[in-house]
Amino acid sequence: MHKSLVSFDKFLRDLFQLCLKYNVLVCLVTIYLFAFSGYQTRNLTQSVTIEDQLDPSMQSSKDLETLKDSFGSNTSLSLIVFPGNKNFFEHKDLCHLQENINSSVRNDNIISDFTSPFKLRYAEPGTNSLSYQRVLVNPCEEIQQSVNPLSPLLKTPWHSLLTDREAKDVTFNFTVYPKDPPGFYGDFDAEGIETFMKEMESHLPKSFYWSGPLAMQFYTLKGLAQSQWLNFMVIFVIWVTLRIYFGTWRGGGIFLLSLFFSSGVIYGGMAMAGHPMDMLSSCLFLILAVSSLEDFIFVAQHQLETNEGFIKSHLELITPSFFTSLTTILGFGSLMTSDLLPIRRFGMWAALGSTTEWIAMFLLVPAFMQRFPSWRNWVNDTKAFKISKTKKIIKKKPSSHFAKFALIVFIFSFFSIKNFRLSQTPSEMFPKNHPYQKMIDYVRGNRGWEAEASLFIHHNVSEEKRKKLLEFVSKEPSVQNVEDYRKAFGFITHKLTDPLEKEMVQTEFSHSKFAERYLSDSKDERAILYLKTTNTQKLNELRSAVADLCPTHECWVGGEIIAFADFSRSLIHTLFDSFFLSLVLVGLVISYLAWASRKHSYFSLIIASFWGPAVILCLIYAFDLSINFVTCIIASTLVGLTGDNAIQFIFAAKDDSLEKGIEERGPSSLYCALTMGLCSLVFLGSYFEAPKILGVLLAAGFFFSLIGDVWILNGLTPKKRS
Amino acid sequence: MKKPFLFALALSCSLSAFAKTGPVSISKIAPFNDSWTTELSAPWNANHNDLVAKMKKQEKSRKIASELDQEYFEGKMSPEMKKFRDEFLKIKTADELDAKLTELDKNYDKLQSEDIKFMAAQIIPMRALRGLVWRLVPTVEDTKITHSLLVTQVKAMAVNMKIFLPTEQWNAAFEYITQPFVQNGQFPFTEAGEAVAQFPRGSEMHVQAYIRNVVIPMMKTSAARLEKLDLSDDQVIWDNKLLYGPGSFPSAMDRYSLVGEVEKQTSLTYMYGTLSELAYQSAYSQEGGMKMNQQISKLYGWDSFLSQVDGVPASKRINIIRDPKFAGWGRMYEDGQKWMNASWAFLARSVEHGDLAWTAMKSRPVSETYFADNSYAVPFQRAIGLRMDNLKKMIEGPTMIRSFITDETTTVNLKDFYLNPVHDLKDLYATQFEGGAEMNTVSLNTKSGVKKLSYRNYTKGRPTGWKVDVYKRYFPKVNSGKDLEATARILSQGWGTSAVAMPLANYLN
Repeated sequence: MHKSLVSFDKFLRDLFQLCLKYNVLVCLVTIYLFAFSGYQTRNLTQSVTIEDQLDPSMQSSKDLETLKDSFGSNTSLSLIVFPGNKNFFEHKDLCHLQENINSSVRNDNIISDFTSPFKLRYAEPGTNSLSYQRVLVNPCEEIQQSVNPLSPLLKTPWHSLLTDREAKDVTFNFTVYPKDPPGFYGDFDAEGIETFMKEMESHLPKSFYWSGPLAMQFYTLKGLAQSQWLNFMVIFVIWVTLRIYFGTWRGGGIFLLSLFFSSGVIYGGMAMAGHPMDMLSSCLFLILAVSSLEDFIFVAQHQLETNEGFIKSHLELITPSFFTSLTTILGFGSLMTSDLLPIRRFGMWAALGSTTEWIAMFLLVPAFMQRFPSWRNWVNDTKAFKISKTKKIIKKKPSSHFAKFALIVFIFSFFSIKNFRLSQTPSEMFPKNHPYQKMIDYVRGNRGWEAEASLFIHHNVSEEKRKKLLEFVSKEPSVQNVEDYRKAFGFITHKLTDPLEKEMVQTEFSHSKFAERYLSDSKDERAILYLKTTNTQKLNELRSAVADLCPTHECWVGGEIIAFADFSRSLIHTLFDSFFLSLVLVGLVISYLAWASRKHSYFSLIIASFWGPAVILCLIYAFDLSINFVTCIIASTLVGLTGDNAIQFIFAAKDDSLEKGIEERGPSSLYCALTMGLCSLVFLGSYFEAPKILGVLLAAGFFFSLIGDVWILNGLTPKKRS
Repeated sequence: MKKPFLFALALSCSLSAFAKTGPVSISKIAPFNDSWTTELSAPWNANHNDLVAKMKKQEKSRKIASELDQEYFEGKMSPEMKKFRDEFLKIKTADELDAKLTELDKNYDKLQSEDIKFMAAQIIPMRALRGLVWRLVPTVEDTKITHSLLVTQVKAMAVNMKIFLPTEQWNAAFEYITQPFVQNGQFPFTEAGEAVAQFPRGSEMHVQAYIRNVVIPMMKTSAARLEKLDLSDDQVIWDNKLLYGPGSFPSAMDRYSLVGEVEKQTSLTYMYGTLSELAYQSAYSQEGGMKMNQQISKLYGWDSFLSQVDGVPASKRINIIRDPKFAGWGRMYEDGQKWMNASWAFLARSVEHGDLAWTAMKSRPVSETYFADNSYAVPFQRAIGLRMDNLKKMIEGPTMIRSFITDETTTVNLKDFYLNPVHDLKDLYATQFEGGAEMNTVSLNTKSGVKKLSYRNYTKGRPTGWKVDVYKRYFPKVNSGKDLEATARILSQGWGTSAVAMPLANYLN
């Protein structure tokens, strides 16, 4: 070995010995740190909104904030009720519906306001009088002659908005008070909303959907809560598989303790830094578990095979495991180059987590083992799975031709990267049979749109330009319908001819609650755009087209879906930038180690390590999977994780060939891949769609990485001379 | 030779006597300042958007702590303001007060700090009120009822002052308004060393002339000074000790308030509103008004124990108003249109500043530390917003108003009331009245038989008809007396229009 590596190895061994020497102090510090971090986690908050996932420095996020301040658009919960088996609602059904809604709103103290089609009015002139008549008669007081009591809505600008194209269903919008003081979920009042929804549902017919930003947040929250059970599943899978491999339950227990320590420190750190838990960081526990499992399995396997005791096993693996953790740190750390704050944060905490788990495994656990001798019996060769069986599988060496042929995957992977589909929507995170997804399908089917955005127009924009803007967006291919102040006012005054009368109604309407949908306090205007598609590319095009018309940002298209589309555009850059950076960094580490260990198969080592991730990239393209918030980190994670086997083989080979190293450590690699794959498949139980894909891709990634790291490398490595 | 000379002497004496006591034109003794025409024709809301944008910018950065102590307020107060306060609290006499106010007026342009300027701009016009009560005595003395009312009011002021504000400063202020004094040579009391003169006996015109020449210009200057101030940081300190005297707030708790843009805009609203009213009052003659009121008072049983008790119906009151003896009362002066134009311009500015005060109030955090309490306004934003918008519309031109109680509508052309006004206020009074018997009779079926009892016919003498052609200029939908009554009702039930309804009601009653 090169002297730099020797010196570094010595440094780590000395550090290890130091921890053994001062084991009591180390144990106390560990316990204190764990208790302190655990205490801090009570301040941890959970993000549930899309807005919370976005990067606040992006212009689209700032625009979303402006919309929220001016029009309060993020605090609504919508309810769509349809007549179920009947064609149309009957008067008595509508009467009951109206009464129940009014009663629920009155009894509940979280609703600040609600709009319904029953509140719509228009100006009716009389002789020296003007009254505001209801569009829909009160179904409890008057019986309308027509078959469909909602049919008057068809003549309003709100057909296909507050009702469907045939006026069969009816929509109510509820504005909810923010939670004060803010709780674990910020100002999202989860309990209050759940109580309200249950109360409403107890009176509703079976045919209804909840919609709107708050409904989405509510369902997201349920999913996140359910995700916690996945973590327990992961723990269970790990514990059982470790028992199978190493013959004791204690081994799994020790590993889990070190994992809890790492997680506690990380989540405590997040709480202290004020970083909330979001959809990405909720995967952190699993990713930490997977990355720290490797170190444990290699050490335990060594102890099982050699029976040399924990100190020798730890010393043997401390340096290679340091470098495997380093590649993991570099893999996650490369995410910190992202433009996106949530991904930068995730990368930072994941990298810190990997650091913490190495310290836990190689410095803290040995100190505890030194202090508490009962901890040392963590493997039992009589009860462990027979290593000889796994070695047989590992020894199978494919021909070099086959191995070289397998490299064709890289050509396909470059093609795949260039043609990734970047089209995603917040609602794609729910499975197809999820109520929220069903609501989207329903609305798309009978209204022709599936999401909303806002066209914001500054009060300084001239009337002429406003008209041009509204005309322009209504002709945009991605826009199905536009709801704006002029249409609403036009309907309200459609029976008036006197200009003074219209002016008077304009004054009164502009101060009404309903007008707050369209006009802010400072007279900025907002038109609501109903979008035919949530294709992020098309939405970004829409946004750019409007931006071109308003170069000084006096008008713009914004909203959650727009901000998400803008955010998504940065995702692919994140993927590429961090992916290539990871390749370079991990490649450098492997190259250095190969050079320092005088293993000159640089090409084979690097190319074999990247073979697995390259296959995954091809599979993403082949199965037309979309790149979304969670899947964009797959490549970096895989590169960071799979470089580890190559490093272990290099160190295990010592002065012998790589083939020897593969033979030595191969079984551990197999156990790792198996357990990591099973843990990843636990994601299939996720409430959300994207983590399911992540789980499958990760499991496939570990499988293919194992093939690449072991058999492809074996195939590319020259045979050892006998 | 001797006879013609004596005749000429007698004639010249007569002529000179006539010159002193003959009719005087108000436009000669108190002409309209024509330079105001250009000034007041400038758009009153030209800077509206910029000012609102500035307020919005300040909105988020303005936070106010709840527990601020004396050190904070004293630290924020300028040295000039502190000096003025300390000197003001030593004032004991009306002359000392006048000297202080005169000094402020003379040196206003040299003042540096916004807090002293804000206060000075508002109290300097008080100089116009010096000795006013004493100066008005000859004007009112001949009409006992008016004189008695005035004396009663001033005496009540004195009693209240002694109870609620018994400080030397308030005593000096009371003397300032009620006592004669020696002029100090500074406008409006330019004859230095001379005692101030009272208004000529029984001459309402001279009082109007004083308002034209002195009160309006001083208030106008005051408004211009306030307009130039920038209080957008809400950091001007008001010390309530100035109001309650040196012995007040011994522990300095609840002593200070913060003053800012809301207070400045509110002051301007009232200032321009007062200017509008004064200009309007200056356009029409009040000649004979005292005597006319004396005649009307007799109807109520005052001034005479021989009056008939019949409730003083409008018919009788208006007959007195239309008596040829009082022909001069209510007629527009020859330069009256200029004053009405000015009144209109002041009203527009009052509404504009009211709108700005409202904008500033909405965006300011609620805190008891501020001088003006905006907590009551915050829940009523819709209603107040509607009122402001209607007022602004009425300033701009014909506006339709709806009663939110009955849905009835009417149209108001407030602008024409000022720019195309009546030339005689008497034209606004009713011309027809309800007739009928003084008493009505009702037959009651009692157990002892039918009893016929009398009760007063309360509607007799009420106005039923007006000069519709006059009112139609201002209320285009009015075609009859009933329409006019409906208009008054609608205006009283509309958003922001009761301010128009109330003066109208005076002419309908």
